[in-house]
Amino acid sequence: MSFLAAAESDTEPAPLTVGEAPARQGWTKYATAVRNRVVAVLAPAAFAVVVWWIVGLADHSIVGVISTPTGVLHEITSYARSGNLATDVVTSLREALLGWAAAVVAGGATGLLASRIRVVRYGLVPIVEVMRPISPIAWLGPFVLWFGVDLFSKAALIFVLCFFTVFVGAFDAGTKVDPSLVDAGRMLGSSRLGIGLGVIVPASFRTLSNAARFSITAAWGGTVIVEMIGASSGVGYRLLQFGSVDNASGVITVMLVVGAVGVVLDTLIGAVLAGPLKQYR
Amino acid sequence: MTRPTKPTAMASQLRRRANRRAQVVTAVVGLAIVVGIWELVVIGLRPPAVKLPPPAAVFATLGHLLASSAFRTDVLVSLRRVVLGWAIGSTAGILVGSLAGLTRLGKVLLEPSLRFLRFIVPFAWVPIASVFFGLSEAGKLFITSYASFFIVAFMAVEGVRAVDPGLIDAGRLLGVNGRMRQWASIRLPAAGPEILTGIKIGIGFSWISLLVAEMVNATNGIGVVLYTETQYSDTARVLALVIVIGVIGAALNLGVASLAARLPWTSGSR
Amino acid sequence: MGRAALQEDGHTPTADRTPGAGRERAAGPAGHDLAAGTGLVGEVPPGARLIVEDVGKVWGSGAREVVALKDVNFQVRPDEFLCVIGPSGCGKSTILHIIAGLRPASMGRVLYQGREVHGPHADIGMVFQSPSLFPWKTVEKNVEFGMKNLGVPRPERKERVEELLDLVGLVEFGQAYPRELSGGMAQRVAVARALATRPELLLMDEPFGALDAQTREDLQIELVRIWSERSSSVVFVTHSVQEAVYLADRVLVVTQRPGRVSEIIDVPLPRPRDVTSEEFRIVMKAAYRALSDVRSGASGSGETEPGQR
Repeated sequence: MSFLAAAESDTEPAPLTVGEAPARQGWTKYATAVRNRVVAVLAPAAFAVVVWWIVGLADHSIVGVISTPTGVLHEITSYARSGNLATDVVTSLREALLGWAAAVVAGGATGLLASRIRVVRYGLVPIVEVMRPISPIAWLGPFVLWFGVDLFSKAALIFVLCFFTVFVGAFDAGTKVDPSLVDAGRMLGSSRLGIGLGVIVPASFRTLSNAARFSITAAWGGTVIVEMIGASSGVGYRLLQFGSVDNASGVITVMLVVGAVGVVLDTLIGAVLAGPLKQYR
Repeated sequence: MTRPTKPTAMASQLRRRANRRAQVVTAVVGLAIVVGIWELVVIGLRPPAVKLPPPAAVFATLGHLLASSAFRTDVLVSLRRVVLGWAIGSTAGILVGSLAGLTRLGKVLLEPSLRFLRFIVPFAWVPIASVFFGLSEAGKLFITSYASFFIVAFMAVEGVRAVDPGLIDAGRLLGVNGRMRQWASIRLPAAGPEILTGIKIGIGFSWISLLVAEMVNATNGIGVVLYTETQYSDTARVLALVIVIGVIGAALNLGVASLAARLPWTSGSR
Repeated sequence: MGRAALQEDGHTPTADRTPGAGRERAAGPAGHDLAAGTGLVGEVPPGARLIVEDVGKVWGSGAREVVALKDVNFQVRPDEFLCVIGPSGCGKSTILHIIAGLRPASMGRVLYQGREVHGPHADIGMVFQSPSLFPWKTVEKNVEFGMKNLGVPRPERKERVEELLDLVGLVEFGQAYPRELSGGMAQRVAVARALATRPELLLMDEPFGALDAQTREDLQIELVRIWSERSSSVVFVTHSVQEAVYLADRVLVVTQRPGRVSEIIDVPLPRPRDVTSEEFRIVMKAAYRALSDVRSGASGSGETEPGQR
């Protein structure tokens, strides 16, 4: 005798079962998870492509704006073959990574220092708070005037973009270091510098690496934007160029490239953090 | 049994006022330090005025700019675009995020797109938008709404999914039946803190995107001014613009933050 | 047996209560009657407000199936305070959730006032281990919430909220937000909120579990006072044997998984109870013995009738 209730479905998690086979179970579970992930991404993507194609077929005029899957495919191949794809991406990456790396080092160092040393904190934090609300893009003007239109001014802009995120992350992490760890370091006779390097840095590593990972996406995106505004090379410039000649396929191609590189960058960092650097987390 | 002492709405208010005071002090000190260092650099290194004008010159230029009604119009135009776009994007984000985040179909569709589209920077849409919308206002609004939409939607999805199941149960016991009522009376308010974080971040994104959009393809607005000034190598004006942009950015953040503080959302359930 | 002292003058319902089955209740918004969907089922055993009949609960399916409850049977009389104890993980909370209508039973059924329970019911209130107050509402608005959904008019709501806050001793905190309250205070608000809809059955799932010992004791005393003023039935789940014996008229002992009722212990002591008294100790010993029997797997018989030892 059972009855169906109007109650909602059970949300209680499946209870623990005893004596499950370990290793093999783990592997198939991992494989299923990956498979699910891939399907989850590919299915909507495939769906979107199909819709895209149909829309193009249905309304010819709109093709001028959104192009067609085949058109984009052509463009991708010619873009790649001409060598421009590689050059553009490399140029942009140089700017992005230079600015980002500098920001991570500078932001991390100053953030940590400011979190632990009172003098530094009182000096730096007000400056940071004042500069932070200034949209990095505003610095384009001064940087171009000071550094010209080359690599350095772009990298500087990316630097500004990423600096604050990393600084805030480092500061936060530095203040939240478990005091008992610091005490342990002191008890074991470490000097201040020793504690700094040996305790504070590793303890804040996790937050720092998250901030770094997060800002690499911003760095990449930022580079593209900056190039759209004032540049003669790089991905962003190419984007604008295609746009100005109404090459819709080209525009979409570049957008896809931007997206792809972004994903790759994020995955790489994730892999590095999960792999070789895992012990520090 | 001892009666507990009355909590003070007073205490939290005092705390908030102290925080605000600390913020103001920090800002003023920061400003002083920056200007101080600036002045020292100018006096000490004596760079050419073309490269680095002294603070006084820049502030004077700032004054001129603000006096010009053309400039003020540009500022207002930009402000309107940003606030409007942000409002539209946020509202859409809240609705789409909180609703779609709950349905299975929504989850399937949203998850990958939110994760993947995030990498396709909003500004990549600028060329498409400029083709689509031309120089019209709609284009700028599209960019600013888009910038807010995704972050707000993302936070809304998170917020709505992470609702404490105890709240849902309590709601059901007290007469909240049906998915829609549950969404409106329980999930949406419970997601409040996350949504608020989202819209706070959103205004920042919208502001940057607007500037970019205006720099690339516009006839009026601060972005245009910034772009043209860069061509003329008038460093004082450019720096004055930096200050203006910074102040507006801070004002927008403050505005949204105080808006958020007015709402009684609190983090976490008790 | 029973609460001799309190029963002296008989059972006095509060002014607006109409005795008997099927109380009329204001329809909620859009004529929504929270008690809808239930129907009178056969004859109602006299004097039973709540009947839990052959209830079972199964989680998961196939190889990972877990039988949490099986053949749970007990009844609760009107104005009775029933405590449920048992080893961890035996499904005590699950029983409450099923009674409340929050989760469906896999087998068996629950009858409240003769009607089968399909979903949450206005007459059944529940307090959880964590207060689950709505953080975006003030204390007053939290307490008022259930009444609002029932369509109780404003002035009456206001009155009841005041009355309830007074009952739990938090009158000055009406405008406070949950995050400003301590654990004990929040839990009291949760009780007030559950009582606002005048439920005749109150379910409590280890409500004092997360509180410190002192607060816990205070709240136990408070609860007895509130309950005696309100006279509703209570089913209270706890880990603490002492708490169970202090509060209950009868104590249900539930076995390990698959859980079922192994014993019911009467607590025929007058209230307020003295935990140091000899009688109290005797009952506690019986309860401990029952509990250890259950833990070691030597459980008693399945079905017990009210009043049977």
